Parts: sequence; C-alpha cells; structure tokens
Amino acid sequence: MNTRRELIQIGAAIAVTAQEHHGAADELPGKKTARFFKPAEMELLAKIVDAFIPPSDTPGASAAGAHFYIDWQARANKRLGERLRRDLAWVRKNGLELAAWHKSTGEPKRVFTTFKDLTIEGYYGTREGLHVELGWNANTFLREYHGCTHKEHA
Amino acid sequence: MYTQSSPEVHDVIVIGSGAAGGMAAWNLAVNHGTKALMLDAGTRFRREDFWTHVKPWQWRERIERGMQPPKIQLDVKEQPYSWKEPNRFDLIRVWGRGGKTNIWGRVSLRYSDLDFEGPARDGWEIPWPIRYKDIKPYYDKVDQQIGVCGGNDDTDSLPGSQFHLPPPAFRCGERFMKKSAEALGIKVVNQRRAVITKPYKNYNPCHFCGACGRGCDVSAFFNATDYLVDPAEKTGRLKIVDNAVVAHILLGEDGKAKGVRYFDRYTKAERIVYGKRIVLGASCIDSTRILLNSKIGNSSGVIGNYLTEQVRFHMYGFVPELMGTKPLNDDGIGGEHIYLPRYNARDGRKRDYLRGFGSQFWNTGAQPGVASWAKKIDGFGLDFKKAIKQRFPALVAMHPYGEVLPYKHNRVTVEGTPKDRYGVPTSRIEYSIGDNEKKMLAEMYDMAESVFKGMKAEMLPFERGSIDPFGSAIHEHGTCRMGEDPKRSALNGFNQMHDVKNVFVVDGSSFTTASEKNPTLTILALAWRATDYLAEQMRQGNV
Repeated sequence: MNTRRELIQIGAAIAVTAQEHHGAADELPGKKTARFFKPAEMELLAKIVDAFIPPSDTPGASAAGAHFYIDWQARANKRLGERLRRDLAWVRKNGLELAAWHKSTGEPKRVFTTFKDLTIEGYYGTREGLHVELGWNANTFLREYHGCTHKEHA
Repeated sequence: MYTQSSPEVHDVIVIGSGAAGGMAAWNLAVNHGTKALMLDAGTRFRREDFWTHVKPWQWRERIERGMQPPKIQLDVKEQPYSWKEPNRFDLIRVWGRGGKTNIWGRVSLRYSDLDFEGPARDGWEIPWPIRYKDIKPYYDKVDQQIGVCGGNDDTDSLPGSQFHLPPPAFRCGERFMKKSAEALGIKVVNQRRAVITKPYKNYNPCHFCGACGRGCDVSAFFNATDYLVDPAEKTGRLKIVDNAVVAHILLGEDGKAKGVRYFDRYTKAERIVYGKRIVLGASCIDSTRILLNSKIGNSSGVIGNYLTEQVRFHMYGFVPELMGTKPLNDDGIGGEHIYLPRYNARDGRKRDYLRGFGSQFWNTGAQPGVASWAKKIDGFGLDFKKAIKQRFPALVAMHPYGEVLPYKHNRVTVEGTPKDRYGVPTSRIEYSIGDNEKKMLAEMYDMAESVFKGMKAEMLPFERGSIDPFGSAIHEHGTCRMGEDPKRSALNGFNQMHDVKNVFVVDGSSFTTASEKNPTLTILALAWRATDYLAEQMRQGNV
C-alpha cells in the first residue's frame, strides 16, 4: 500500500510528465497527400489495401491511410517505389485477384506478399488499425500497474 | 599541429560517463571526496526531447513532417569500425552523458558462483579472480543506490536481493509461460530491472508507459547521468569535459600513466590533460581501442582478444486461452516481468557443452509492434483481419541468451585499420561462435519449444539453430580481462592493470567470462569495488 506522501509523489511525477507531453497528445494528423504515386495509382492502391484489410465494424486499410504509408515508403526508397509502380501496372493488367495470387507461386505470389506486408505495416501503425480495430490503448500514464486481472489465469 | 594541454595534474581522470565511468566518478567524488576530471565523448541528452509519449501514428506523422527523434546512438559514419567478413558484428555505441544507460534494457541480474566458478570448474580459459562473496556487498549497495525491482527469490544461478523494490504484476501471457516452464521443472522468477516501481529516494516512480527504449522522460529507470554523474558534479569535485574523444593514455618515463590525449569531437582540436590515475570506462570496444592504440599494459598479449557476447534467438506464439480476449494495457515497466534463470546445473545430467543459458520474455502481450508477427499469419480480407485481432492479446515471446566461451581468435584489433576523423586507428572485430555454442543452442531451442508446447501455443514459424546477428545483444566483454596470472590477464581482481598500476579498467572489457546474463549490474558493482580499492590505495600512497 502506498503512503500518502508516496501517492503525492506519484501524482506529481505523472502531472509533470503529462504537462511536458501535452504537445504529443494534442497532435492531429495532417492532411495526406500522395507524393510519389499518381492519382490513378493511388486509387488502385487504395483498392488493393482494402482487399487485404477491408472495412468491417472498424475502418479498413484505405480509411486508415495505409496506401499513403505505402506512398511514403515509395518516396523514401525510390527503388522500391519503381518496383511498386511496375507491380501496380501488373495488377491493372491482370486484375485484383487476391485469392488466385494467394494460392499461386512466382510473380503473383511475390506481388501478393509485397502488398500484404506493406498494408500490414501501414494499417497497424495507425490509430484506426492499432487503437480502433485492435483496442491498443497504452503508452500512457498509470498510477499503478495491475497486470493480468483474470482470476482464472492465476 | 598545435596541441593544447592543461598544466593541472588531476587526481583522477575518468574516461567515459556510462555505467562504468559514471559509477567510478560518483564513488570517488561523493563517497571518497576525491577530485576527478571526466572526459565524455559527447554531451548531455535532454530528456525533454525524448519521444517517450509519442504514439506510433504520431511518430509516423512526425517523421513525415521531417522531424527526428533525438539521436542517441552513435552514427557509424561518424566513428566507423569494421569486421572480418563474413561475420558482421553490430556495434551499438552511445557517445554522450550516461552512455548506453539512456536506452538500456535495464535487466539487472547478479552473477552467481555458478558464473564466477565456471572457468575454474570446467577449465576453459582462466578463472575469475573473484567470487560472489567478494562482490555481493557491492551488488547490495548498487541495488540500493540505483533502485532495482525484483524478487528476493534466490536460485543457484541467480541470487536475489533483500533490497529489491517491488516487482511489477505479471501480464496474462507471462502467467501462462511461467506455469508452462514450471510444469517442466524449470523455475521462473521475477525479472530484476533497474526501474523505480515505488517512490524511492528522490527518484520519480515509473508511470508504466512502456516506452523505456526511447529514453525515460522522468528518469524513472537508472541512467548514469541522473543517478551518478549529476550528483557527483554537484559535489564540486567532479569536472566534466564534453565532446572529448579519447585517443590515447600517455605513459611517463616511470612506466606509469601520466595523462590522456583526446580530440574535441567537433573542432577536432587535440588536447592533453594530465592525471595521477586513470579510470577507463569507455565501454568494451572503445576502451580496448584506446588501450591498443596507446600500446600500454599488454605484456600478457591478451588485450583485444577473448571478445565474447551471447548467442540469442527469438520464439513467438499465441496462447489459445488468450485469443479473442479484451486487450489489457500490457506496457508495465517495459520488457518482461519474469525471467528464466539458468537451470542446466541442477538436474545432474551431463551436457555436451560448457556453461549455460537463461531466457527473457519481452514483447509478451498486447504490444504495438503488430507488423512483426502479423505478416506471418496466412490469408487476407475479413478473415485475416479477424485473425490478427484474435491473436493480438495472446502474443507470447521467449528470448533465450546463451554464454559464448572466450576464444582467443575472437578479437578487436587496430593494426592496419582505417583511421577515424582524428587520425586514430579504428576498431576491427573478428567474431565467430564454436561447437560449444551450437550444442548449447540445440538445448535452448528444445527448452523454448517445450515451454510453448506446454501451453499448447500456436507457434509462429522459426528456423531452428538461427541466431541474432553478432553484437545485437550489446553485451561485449572480455577484451581486457581480469585474472590472477599477469601472463594471462591484463587486470587484477580490482580492475587494476598488472603492468600500469595507476590505470583501472572498469567496463565490460574487464570480465573474465560473459555468462548468459546482462552485464550492467555487474559493471556497476565492479566499478564501485575497483574505485573503493583505488581510493584506499591513494590513501596508502601506493598509486
């Protein structure tokens, strides 16, 4: 059991930390703008990421901006970007057939894996993917840590 | 080139400000009233700048806007090093106040006599010159000084401590792993971590945000800056020179060290400071580089050799009972709350390898690094989305660490290496593991797999026998080892050089073996003990 003095000390420490970081808590996402892919490519990319992680009772990948994450990666790594541009052209030509790519080998499988991995990275790093969909609500300030609260796990 | 030198002769020059140098400076200035000069290769990190409370999506936004988190790790472009192909060695360095303690894992395990007596028992390389009874009082003092949470649950391989702060509650997944390991007869204990889990001294307590690896914004875990160097400086007896990149320890005609040559990190100006005693704590590889470039204290020829670390791998799975449950806040004190100490000396069964291993469990629970495992889950679409959500609270992880024996051919050299921006030869690292480690890894994999199977966990694919890149444990040891025989060691049992009596080397390079344990707590204890001895020798007029 904490003493009164200890509780005051804990409270003060949390208040100081929260004060120092009010900027982070207040940060709002900026408006997303594609800087590598052209509008038609972004449109197709949005369809692809939603095919991997569609909307349900929570936002899907495009609503979370996963395709903008991929655009960002493409901009940061031009070699990846050019490869993705070729992959998008390949998808436009062959159609968005995830079920078929998933079962296949060779080029379709590679395209599947590339877009799947980037969609996962993009989606589960967003507020929509991590907090709204998965329920992650951490990296915050707690007075006490309770750990597992399930009696059946004891 | 003009070299600026100060005429003042300092009582002690301390090189480095991390766990080793910080402890040495603090003990000398605070406990012994000794005046000292600290040479720090960097400067202070502002904890207000740490991105401790930046959510993953805010992090991404910031980077996109061109912002950067504080640069704590040394950029290899600034201070290059090399390795002997094909064995890349990842060398993580922090030049600046507190060194690696700004971002360390905080795992604080005591060595036991299983570790200290290991070489004497199995005959592999030289014995340690100390035993647990020699260092126990210092472990006790370090626990009280820096605040270490954990249990007082002794095992033969991991001593407890009556001075531990309260351990944090276990996460759900940790309860399952503990039960599974113990069903196999393998004891699992509270992890020992240098985290302030209740108000203690004047330190801020942890607020359980879990982002310790980015630096703590309230300094609720031990870092050498706030816990050692600042209090030492406040005595008025410690002076600190920032951005002082040490190149050489200088010898006088009497064979004793007389000073230190360093370069200003940014202006590259060469300077010399003089001192009566030198305490070297620049971290294992950099201290070794300084000693080799200085050509001192190496009549034994061991300096640079016997570099050792640990072998490590990772295994992940999902606990069926936790799948689909409501995620809890699993941050805790960052890192795991349980630890699996070495057990292979208990069952009486003879192994086909020497020494042993333990295991850590970080990343267990609902953690934000989802992409690292979600990519390995098959499928797409709504079923895939559901599969990730189900598994999110159920993730469990094991990270066994095994001791690597000291081998002479694992070494740091400076001969013929490229020079750094100051014209000083850089480090070259040769490192490999042998049959002993490969045999140990087989049991490490067996053990980890058994723990997962005991929980009926769904396991993520793994490649049996694979290990992390060399150096990634960031636990370099052994290249300036202590021992009783001056022909086979560079330091005596008090970290004092056999050859140059007024030089003490107090970082991980002084270890005789690596053990399977994280070394920082032992570095702190050894540095405290070494500088107590130094202070006593000063009083007696011996150094």
